[in-house]
Amino acid sequence: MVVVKLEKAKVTCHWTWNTKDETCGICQMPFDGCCPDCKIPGDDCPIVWGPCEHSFHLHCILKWLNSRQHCPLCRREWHFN
Amino acid sequence: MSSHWDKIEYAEELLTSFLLNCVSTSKMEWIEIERIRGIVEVTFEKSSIMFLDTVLRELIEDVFQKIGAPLIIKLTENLEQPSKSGELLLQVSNSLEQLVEFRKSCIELLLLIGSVRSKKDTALLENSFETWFSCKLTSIVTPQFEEFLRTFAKASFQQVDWSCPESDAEKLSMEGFFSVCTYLESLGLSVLVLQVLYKVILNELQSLLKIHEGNFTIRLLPSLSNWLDSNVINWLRWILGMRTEASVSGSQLSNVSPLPCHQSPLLLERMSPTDKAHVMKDEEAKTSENWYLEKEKLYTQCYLRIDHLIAQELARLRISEMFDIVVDYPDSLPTLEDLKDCLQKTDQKRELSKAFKLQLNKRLLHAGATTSDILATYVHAIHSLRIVDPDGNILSDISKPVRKYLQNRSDTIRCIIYGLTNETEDETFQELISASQNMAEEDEEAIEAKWMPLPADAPYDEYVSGMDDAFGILLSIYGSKESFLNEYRTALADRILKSLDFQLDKEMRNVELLKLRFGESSLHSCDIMLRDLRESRRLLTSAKEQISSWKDESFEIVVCSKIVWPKLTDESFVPPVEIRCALDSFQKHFEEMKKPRKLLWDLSCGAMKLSLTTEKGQTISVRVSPLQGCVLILFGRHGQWNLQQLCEELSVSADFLKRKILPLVNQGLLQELNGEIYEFVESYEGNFEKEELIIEEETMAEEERSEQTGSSNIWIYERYIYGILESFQALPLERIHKLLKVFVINPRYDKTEYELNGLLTNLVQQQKLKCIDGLFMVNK
Repeated sequence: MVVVKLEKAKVTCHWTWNTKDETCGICQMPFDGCCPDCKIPGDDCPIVWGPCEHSFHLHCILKWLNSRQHCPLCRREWHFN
Repeated sequence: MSSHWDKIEYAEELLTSFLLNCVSTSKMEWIEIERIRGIVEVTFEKSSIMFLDTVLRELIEDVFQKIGAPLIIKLTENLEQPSKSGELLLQVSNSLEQLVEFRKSCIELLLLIGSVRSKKDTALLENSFETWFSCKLTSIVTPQFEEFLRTFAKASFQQVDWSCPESDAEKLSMEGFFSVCTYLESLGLSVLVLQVLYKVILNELQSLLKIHEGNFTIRLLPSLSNWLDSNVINWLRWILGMRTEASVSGSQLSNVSPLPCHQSPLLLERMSPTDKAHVMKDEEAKTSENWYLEKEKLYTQCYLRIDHLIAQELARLRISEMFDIVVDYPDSLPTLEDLKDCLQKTDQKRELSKAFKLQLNKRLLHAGATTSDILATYVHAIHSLRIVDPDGNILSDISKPVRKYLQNRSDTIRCIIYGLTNETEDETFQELISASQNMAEEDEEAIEAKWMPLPADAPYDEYVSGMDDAFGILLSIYGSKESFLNEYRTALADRILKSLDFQLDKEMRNVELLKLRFGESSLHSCDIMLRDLRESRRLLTSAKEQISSWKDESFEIVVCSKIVWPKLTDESFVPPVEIRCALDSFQKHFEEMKKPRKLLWDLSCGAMKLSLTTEKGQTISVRVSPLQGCVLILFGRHGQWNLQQLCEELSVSADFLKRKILPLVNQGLLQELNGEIYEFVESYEGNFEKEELIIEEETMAEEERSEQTGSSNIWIYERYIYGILESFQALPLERIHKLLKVFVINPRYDKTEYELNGLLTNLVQQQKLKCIDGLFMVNK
């Protein structure tokens, strides 16, 4: 029987946000990318959820919350989950 | 009346005998002269100048038939049947000398007659004679005569030192040749002499150039100019009778210098003794000065002409070798400098671009040359032509066919990028660096200030203005920088994902350099890719520290930000448990660290290095794709696998797996037994203990590529399928097919039902759809 030893392996994977939607309801950019103000997706441009389980880029919803305090999609009151 | 005719006849007779006498003794009896003058004055006083001209012509013609014609015939005969060359030279020289004498005597006679009449008439008579005489002489100029001259000219040229010949015989023959040349000149045939001289020089030049054929490492032009200044010019001066005092030994110069008309003894005769002495001295100085100036002019003409000849011949040679010169760049720099200087003198740029284009077509732009060769040669051509023709016209001219050809090659951009990132080919990269620095320095205003009108010979179509930067030219082959950057991104991703020893620093440097050229934003995605790699390495380190069970040092995991990476192929499979454990623990670690993000594996990318030790103790080191690696790991468990079992173990389709196993079978690691059973080959024949066996998965064939571009359309169909299934809940295959046919117009739905089935099955596998009893519905 042959003895197989793994010496080195390069394995690839990708991350994705654990969301139902694929794009942000505010900026219409994909969640796998980032909001229009950011350059680097991932930690620097996180995603947040409201109680209604709708999710947006943090930067997008913060801008929205400057003017009103509800979810832009379902109009329920917004607070960060 | 009759007495008048008698007078004329008498005068004719007298003149003829006088002329004959003159020619044969080459002397004039001065007493005779006075008598003839008197007779001519009386006889022709009232006759018109035309009449006089005719009479004299007939008279001279008669004498010529008696003396000149036999000379010419003899000369021609001698040349046709040459005896010894020394004698021949002497004979020719003698014949010519007599002809010169004859001409001289005739002119004397004309002057004598003219002195009776006006100055205008004298000039007329003389002109008419010259024309007639040169007509007579043309019969001398036979091919044999030219050949004869050429032989001696060549011999004299090859003589190293003309002033002191080695032997007497040589001296004699050279002096003889020199006098032949001088006689010919006196006879008004200097054009013939020059023609022969040029031919000899051309021959010499060509044999000189032949020695240097194919040698591009030294400059030829300076040594050729030197050759012209020393050898050729001295020789020419010698033959043209411009020997300097030092080199003139004999008194030949004064002997043979043509006697100008106004120095005729006759005119001097008529002046008073004091006047005569004065005029003689004056005239002599003036004449020799005039003569010298005349010669100087001729000599300058010759010099310029030979200088041009050298440039022309050298350019012609180099043009015929242009392709080799370009291939040899930068070793051929001296030759290129030569060519540049030559082309400034001659008008051969068009010739160069025409010839070079032909050479390129014949030797480069064919199926036998690899794209990287073509590119390398093109880059060399750019460099070379920038030296030869700074205006860039030739370059833009030859670029057209090359670029057109390269556009038809599918791997051009890949080759450019390879050349760019390959370590060995640093030259191109240096080019890139310097070019981008230039670009950074020059703002638009500076460029505008540098604007120059196009050269007159610029082809007005497709004149590439940025022709001063090789990298830019290469990029513009494909028209847009986008396609280049796309290809670069793909190549970079490929290297990151497939190479086991990726050099992050080097790639970061490359990206920085490209940023200088294309701007920060164009390379944003490459930036993120490299950032992903750094981030992944950090994560891996922290995973190793925090997960106690993580002992395996061998894994390198790259977590991609999917959106910036080129499309990763999603041929997923389930790896064997030992690998799965490691991956799972990393996944858990990631999901803890980066909550609420999750991790999805793209196992089809990547690479594995395995060492296989057979029962006999033979060790084989292989590099394979992850799937192949997993297959080999499975063979470490059992020596034999059925294809079906393998498929179940890895959760992939049989066809797909079979295709992936094939390279392993081809390399002799596995063998296929009957009934799709695979077995590990224990006695591996190759020797890979030291070397690494690299098994590539079959490279993506063209069709697969086009399939991939087709898959972008599939993405659109997917949207429609969701839409349809959301409104109809559940549908069988054929209904979906029909509906798609109706709804999808742009781009037109062109799949068969069978292909749609594949697409839907794929979506079911990805758990986006589910299929129950032949009805498809959205998986919620």
